[in-house]
Amino acid sequence: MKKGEKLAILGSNGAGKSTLFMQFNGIFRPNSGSIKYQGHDISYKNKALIELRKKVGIVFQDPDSQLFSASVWQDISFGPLNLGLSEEVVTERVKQALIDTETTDLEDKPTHLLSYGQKKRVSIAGVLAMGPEVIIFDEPTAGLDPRHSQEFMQLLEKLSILGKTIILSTHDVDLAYSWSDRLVIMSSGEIIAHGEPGELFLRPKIVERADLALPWLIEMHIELVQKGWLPPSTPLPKTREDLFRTIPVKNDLAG
Amino acid sequence: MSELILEAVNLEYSYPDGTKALRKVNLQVEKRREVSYSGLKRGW
Repeated sequence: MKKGEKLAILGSNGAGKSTLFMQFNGIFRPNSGSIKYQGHDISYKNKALIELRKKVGIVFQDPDSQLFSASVWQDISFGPLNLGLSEEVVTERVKQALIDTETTDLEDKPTHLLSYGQKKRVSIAGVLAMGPEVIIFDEPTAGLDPRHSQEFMQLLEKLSILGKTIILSTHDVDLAYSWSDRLVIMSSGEIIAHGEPGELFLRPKIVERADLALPWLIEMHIELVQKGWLPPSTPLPKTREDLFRTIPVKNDLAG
Repeated sequence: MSELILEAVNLEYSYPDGTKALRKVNLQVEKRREVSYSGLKRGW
């Protein structure tokens, strides 16, 4: 089975996550070093940047910075129309983006009347309609209530099954740990660690240096192992279901 | 097989006011990754 890569970038405020993202689609230009897309240094000429932004889409933290058209439909179609696609193709893409983000019922609504969660979905739809290969989400769950946050994670899952490569930044250690295949930890503009999420969180110095905390799943796992409820060989749980499955029922302990 | 789609190579960046925001950032992002489910324990 093939799947788009799921990469989380974790770091406290000001660690450089958003700045790095702005480099990835050419909004900022590096002082030195380079960004490569499919093995080639990106070009900062207008035309090349438009091409790049088709392929690398960013969903910003604040949906109001992304939505500006009168209606939801207009807003989502703005990007693809600017790519010079035919009206038919644009209609097709907008419809699909509305379906993928479950916003079809909002298509005629004025964007300024949407709730925060709805705005967030519509701003994602606008990026999806561009047909990107890589989608970058800057603090996607900040400001969402638990239910919307969970729905958003389901949408992410759908996108990676569709083969999209997803990069997201967050300071939510639980989300980063459970969702990602690979984790990058940033602090003061530097990548201080990089690797398999479970392995990184078991390095206390890194966690402390990046001003982070342990995911509750790992904290609970460590506690259960230390107090003898779980054998030390128990694998780290990736989800709450993994953890709950490993906890023996009391009868078993007595018997 | 996975393929590199996005890469940052020795990236350095300072904001116009001189604040250093990125220091020697190297990062490789793969397009697709083979995912094996064979290692998962199921049926508990």
